[in-house]
Amino acid sequence: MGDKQSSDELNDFEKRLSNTKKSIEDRDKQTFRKGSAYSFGFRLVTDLVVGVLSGVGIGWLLDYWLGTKPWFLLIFMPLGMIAGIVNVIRAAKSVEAQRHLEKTDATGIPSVPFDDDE
Amino acid sequence: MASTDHNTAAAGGAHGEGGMAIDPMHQFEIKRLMDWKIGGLDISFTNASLWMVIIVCVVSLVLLAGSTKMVPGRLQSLGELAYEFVSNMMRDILGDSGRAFFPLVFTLFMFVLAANMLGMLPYSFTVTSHIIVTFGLAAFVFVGATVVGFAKHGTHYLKLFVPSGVPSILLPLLVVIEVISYFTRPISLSVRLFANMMAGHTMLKVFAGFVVGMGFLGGWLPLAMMVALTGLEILVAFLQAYVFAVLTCIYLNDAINMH
Repeated sequence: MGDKQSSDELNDFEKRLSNTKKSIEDRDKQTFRKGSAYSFGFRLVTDLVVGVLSGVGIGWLLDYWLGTKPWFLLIFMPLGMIAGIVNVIRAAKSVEAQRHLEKTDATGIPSVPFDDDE
Repeated sequence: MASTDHNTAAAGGAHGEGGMAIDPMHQFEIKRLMDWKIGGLDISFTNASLWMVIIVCVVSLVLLAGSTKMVPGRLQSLGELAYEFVSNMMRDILGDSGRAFFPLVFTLFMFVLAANMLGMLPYSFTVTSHIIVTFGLAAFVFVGATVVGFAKHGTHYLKLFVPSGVPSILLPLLVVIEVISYFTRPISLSVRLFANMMAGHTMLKVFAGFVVGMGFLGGWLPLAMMVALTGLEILVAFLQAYVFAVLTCIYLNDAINMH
C-alpha cells in the first residue's frame, strides 16, 4: 500500500520534473535563437563591410607598390564589394537550408535532400 | 601570440585617471607589467598577457580540477556541458570526418569564451577586444584550414576557387572574386569578435558614465539600462565564442569535404 503510494508520488514527481525541464529548455532555446539571430545579422554586416574594405586595401596596396594610382583601387573596390555580397548570399543560403531542414524535421515530413552549396 | 601591441595611442587614457572625466576607451589600454626585450623585439609581459595566462588557468581549472564521478559536481558538469555543446555542434557541421579537429575547436571555443566572460568582471581586461589577439586566432584558423585542405586534396584544393557551370568569359573574374572572398575570411572572423567585444564594453562604460554624471535623481534610468545591457553583453560574450567556433568548423568543413 505504502509502496504503491510512493511509486505514484515518484511518477508524479518525474512528470513535474520533465515538464519543468522542458519549459526551461524551451525558454533557453528561444533565447539562444533570438541571440543567434542577432549574431547572424552581425555576421552578415561584417562580411559585407570587410569585403569592401579588403577590396579597397588590396587595390590601394597594389597602387602603392606599382605606382599606378588610382587604377587598381578602381578595379578592386567593386570586386571586393561583390566578394562581400557573395559571402552574404552564401551565409544566408546555408542558414535558410538549415532552417528548412529543421522545419521539415519538426513536422515529421521526411526532409528533402538539398544541395549544400556553402 | 602577438600580445605586445602598443595601443596606448588608441586608448588615449592619459587624462582618464582622476577627476570625473569619463574615458570609455581607458579600459582597453595596454600596460607593461614587466619590461622585457630580446634584441630589438619587445616581448614585455603586459596586462593582456597576464589575462591570457589567467584565461588558460581558469579553463584548465574548470576542465581538469573537476573530479570524474558518475554523478558530476558543479565543476565537472560545467566541463561536461561545454564538451557536449562543442561536440554536438561539430557533429552537425562537420559530420564524423572532423573528429580529429575536436581538440582544436574546443580549445578555441573555451579560450574565446573564457576571455569574453572574464572580460565581464569589473576591473578586468578583455583580451578579445584587441584586434591583434582576435586576428592572431583567426589567422591561425585560416592558415590551419588551408594547410588541411592542401594536405587532404593536394592541388585539387584550388578547385575551390573555380565555380562550376560558368561561361568561360566570366571565369577569370569569378576566380578573382572567389579568391578575395577566401582571403576575407580571417579578416571578417577577427573583426566580428573584436568589434562586438569592443563596442559592447565601450557602451557599458558610456552608460556607467551617465549613471555617475546624472547624479542621484537622474541616474536610475541609465542604471536600469546598465543591468539590461550587462545581461545582453553576457549573451553576446557567449554567442561570439559560439560563432567563432561555428565558423572555424565551417572553414574546416570546406577544407575537408570540399563542396
